[in-house]
Amino acid sequence: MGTVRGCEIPEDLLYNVENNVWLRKEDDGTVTIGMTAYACALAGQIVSYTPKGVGKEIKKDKSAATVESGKWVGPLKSPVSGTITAINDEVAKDPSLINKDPYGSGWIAKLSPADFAGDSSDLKTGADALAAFEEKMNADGFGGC
Amino acid sequence: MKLPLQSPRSRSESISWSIVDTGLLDADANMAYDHALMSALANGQLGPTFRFLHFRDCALLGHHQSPRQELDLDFCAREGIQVQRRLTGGGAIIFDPSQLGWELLCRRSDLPPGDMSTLAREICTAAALGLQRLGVDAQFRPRNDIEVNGRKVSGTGGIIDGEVVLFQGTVLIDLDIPRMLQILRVPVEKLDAHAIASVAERVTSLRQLLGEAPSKETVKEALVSGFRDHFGWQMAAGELPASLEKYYLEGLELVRSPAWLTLQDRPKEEQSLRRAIYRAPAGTLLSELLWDERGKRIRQIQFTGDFFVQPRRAVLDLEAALRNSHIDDLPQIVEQWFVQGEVDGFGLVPQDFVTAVQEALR
Repeated sequence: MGTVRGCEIPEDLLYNVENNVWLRKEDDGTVTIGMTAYACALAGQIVSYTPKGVGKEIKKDKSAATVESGKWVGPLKSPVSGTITAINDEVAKDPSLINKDPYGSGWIAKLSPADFAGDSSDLKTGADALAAFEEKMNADGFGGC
Repeated sequence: MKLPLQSPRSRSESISWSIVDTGLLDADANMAYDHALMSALANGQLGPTFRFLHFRDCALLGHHQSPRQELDLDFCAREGIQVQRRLTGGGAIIFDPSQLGWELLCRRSDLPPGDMSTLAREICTAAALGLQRLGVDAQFRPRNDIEVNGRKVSGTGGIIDGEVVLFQGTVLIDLDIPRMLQILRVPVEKLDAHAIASVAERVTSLRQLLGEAPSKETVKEALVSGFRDHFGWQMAAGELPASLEKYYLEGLELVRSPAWLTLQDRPKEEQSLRRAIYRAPAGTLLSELLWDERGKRIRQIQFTGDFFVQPRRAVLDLEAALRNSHIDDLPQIVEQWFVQGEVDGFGLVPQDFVTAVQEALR
């Protein structure tokens, strides 16, 4: 497990660092997306979660869901284009699951990607992702998780 | 969380802000403007902008709220009160031409660094500084309120979409509490003298604080001076670009679509009014709350009854701290309030407040 300034950043996931989202390619060809631990630390406790509906087509870098914490709304932007195949009913019941387990039970949406190879080429992983997050945290003036 | 201690002015002093006033509008037009201004900012067609908003009679939902749970929709329809959903978070509010809205639109880098709560605190502190210029002791109260002696005079909320930030607030210049109680669902059983008095202890207006309502121009000047002095911004009257029209029309289409208002549409029954009277050894507590059965959260709460605490505003601070909290966090929030606020309960202990809530949820 990679860590940047105390925030867990698993090195086996893909990231859009600017939008603070992660993506995991599943064995069945779908992708799971979610908020990074860093995004959760910036947001504070999340109290609302509104995903786009199953079957909805989402373009790359457009909102797949919105979350709310402390009266701040934040869209979660999908790192790839695709069709939503599942939303997280457990998170709908208890949005703070996103804070508690951002890379596990707090996932945001699952999608069937439209062009995974094309869309994922600019995503970062491994040491590159850790370095990019360090740079982003520095620019954001972030002290640590 | 460890955050660097930096002055709010450290990276924003040289930034120039345009001040605009879009005049008296319907709620859908104001929401369409928000959409348009965020799009223009995202596409590099707009710089940092401070907008004043004025609304015809309306009720505005927070972005994730359900109309049926928050509003008396039949009353709104009968009275011609437009119902709209904000892009920003927080709770439902009413607006009429006597109220003033303010908002800032900019890129994240135009504001001080830090997490969302830091950002809200800085912005609310600037707005409070402005209101102080009117002669009221306005202060920021976590999470996003501006209050005077415990009573809310301005509510706020925000959205961050990528690098684009919209943060907006209200100023209650005047307030018709009975009308507010007819429109908004609040944790009281019926519209009576107790309900009106209870709200009056928690919400105030500039008219009430100053003896007369200041003009909107006076309030606008005060707010701008607060932001200018707190952040060190250069702020001057500006105009909106012509390129905004395309985004504005997109925004109107979005906020007028039925899907926008029903983005969240849960039944009223899932958010029930609960109340209980708890007789503690040192006093009697009446807890009244709007309870989110699905999310197990306290949406709103108030404590009244026959008891004493010092400082007097402490109960109002507890109510603010418990808003939107998960029931599992209740004991910790009450304990933290009691210790950090140096509360003297004259024999009441934190567990008494916890029990008063638990009794209401039985």
